[in-house]
Amino acid sequence: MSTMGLRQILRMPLASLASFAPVRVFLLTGENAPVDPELLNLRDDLILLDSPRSATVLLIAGALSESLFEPAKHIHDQMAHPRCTVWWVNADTSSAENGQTLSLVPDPLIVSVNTSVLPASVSDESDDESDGLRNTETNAKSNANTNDALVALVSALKRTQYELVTGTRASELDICPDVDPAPWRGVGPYAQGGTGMTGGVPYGRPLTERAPDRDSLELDQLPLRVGPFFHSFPQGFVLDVELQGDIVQSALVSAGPVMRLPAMFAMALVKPVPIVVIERERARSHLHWLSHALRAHGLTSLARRTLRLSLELSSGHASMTDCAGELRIIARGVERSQVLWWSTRGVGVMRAPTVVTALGPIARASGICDDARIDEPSYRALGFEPITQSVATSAAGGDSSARWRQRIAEVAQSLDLAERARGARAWGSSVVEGTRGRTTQTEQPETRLYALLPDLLQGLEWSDAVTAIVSLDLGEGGKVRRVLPWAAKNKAAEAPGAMNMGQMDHGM
Amino acid sequence: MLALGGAFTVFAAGILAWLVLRWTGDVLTPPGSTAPGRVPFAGGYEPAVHAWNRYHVRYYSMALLFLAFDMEMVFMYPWAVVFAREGLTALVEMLMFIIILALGILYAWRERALEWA
Repeated sequence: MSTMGLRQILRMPLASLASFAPVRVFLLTGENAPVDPELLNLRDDLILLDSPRSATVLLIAGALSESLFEPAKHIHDQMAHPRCTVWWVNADTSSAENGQTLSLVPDPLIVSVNTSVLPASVSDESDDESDGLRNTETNAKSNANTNDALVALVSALKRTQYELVTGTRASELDICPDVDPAPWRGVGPYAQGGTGMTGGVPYGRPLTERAPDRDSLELDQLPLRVGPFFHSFPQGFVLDVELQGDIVQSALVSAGPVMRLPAMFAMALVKPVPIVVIERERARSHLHWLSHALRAHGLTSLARRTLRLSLELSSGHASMTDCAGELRIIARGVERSQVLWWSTRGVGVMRAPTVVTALGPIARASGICDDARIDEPSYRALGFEPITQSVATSAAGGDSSARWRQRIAEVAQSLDLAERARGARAWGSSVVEGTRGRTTQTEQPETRLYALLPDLLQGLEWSDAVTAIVSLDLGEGGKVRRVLPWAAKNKAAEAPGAMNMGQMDHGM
Repeated sequence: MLALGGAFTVFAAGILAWLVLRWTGDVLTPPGSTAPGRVPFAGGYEPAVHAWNRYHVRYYSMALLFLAFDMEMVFMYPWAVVFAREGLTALVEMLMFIIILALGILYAWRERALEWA
């Protein structure tokens, strides 16, 4: 019997079973995603994967910027057959952006969401005392529609998976040409000679250059570009590292996501806004980070619980007391994970004066009492006191575990402030305390954070470097993001440890 | 002879199971054979250099220590055979051997040979 015949006989019963399995998805997040793609983690009927190798569906949420096309094409070709690309698009996105993303894959399946039925989470025009109440109603509607959009997507994904495994939909072909970067070059009739470890250029790639290592040995140095779709980093974040073994010898941020200031904080730069809404947004943002960080450390169940709480907070349904109770359960779960503390304690230590002020929770986790809320009369009236982590009592103060503890403590503090604030309003000045530190119209705290990374990561093992980056909260997965232009590596090399911030486009 | 036949059957069945599983997997989803499909995944970009590289295996001193104590166990097998007959003399001799080795491991500990990170 021919292999094709056997394949058909084996395929049909297995295909009908496989079509009931959760859809294995690799997610690429672009700009203007219809719904926060992080919410897909709450669905039982699909699995978001860390690597494209075992994915069936390449899901592109929103419009990819042009600089992400090349990596996206490689990822597409790295998926095993049968495979398919699904483009989850916002119907309101301009046709120019859509056209660009459409050029990536020849014939993607398009799931379009009309976001005009998804109300904005914050009403910019409202100026009366019932802001909080009105936002709650708006957000409740938004959540219902968000759920509809997710259900529509998942049903399209399941249908696609069924068609792929039963063979009614053809698997997508490669986009990149099937050629090695360079032919295997060697000396002799079997390419067996020449210099170097392999006697040639194996699979078209040269061998690494040598450099002194920490034990004063001349050993190989492996340059590696990690990102922009590396699972533990925010999407769009690209790190150029040089590794010896698993030790990071140098690290440079080549690109990073541009983070949009949440609407409430942007509004607070213009006029006073209710503290209850600001603090709820701050708690939601920290919980969003906590969920991502827990998933990066493999605590997926706790991550889903945290994401659910963050969703509850943005819906406005749950009372602050209920949320605080749920937060205590999550915090207890985090505290109990010894593996988590083993991997974060003493890793990525940032202390004064390395930590510049105005890095919000990161500075406060390093014991620096810096918080713009302390200067705000309405916060002082509520008895606000900034929380800081003690660096004197432990040798590992200002490390990744301190940043975890700091953010969890700040969520509890924000929920408490939101509960007691009632109608109080704050700001309307040029500087506000954002979710990641002091923020002005022109400057976001993340831009200063990128400059600290080369020194922070140098000398760490790769797993510790990932842990340190995760603890910094470099962006919310799935939010609108844009990749910065490539920083000039030569310029950065002239001034080691400092990125040329002029190279970056902060584009608010 | 029977035991040898049984061992051979288990070995042959293992090899057969491996071949069948591999073949089934290949039939259902043929392995990626194109150049882009062979590239290791690091977030989207292709690596610039080959992944073969030499780095300092810092745990070699720990590995040598392990081998030393592994061989110590080999010496204990003949000792265990004569232990009941020789009695206290054998015990004292083995204690001297173990103490000398234990001093060695304490020295290695002091010299941080057990840490390699």
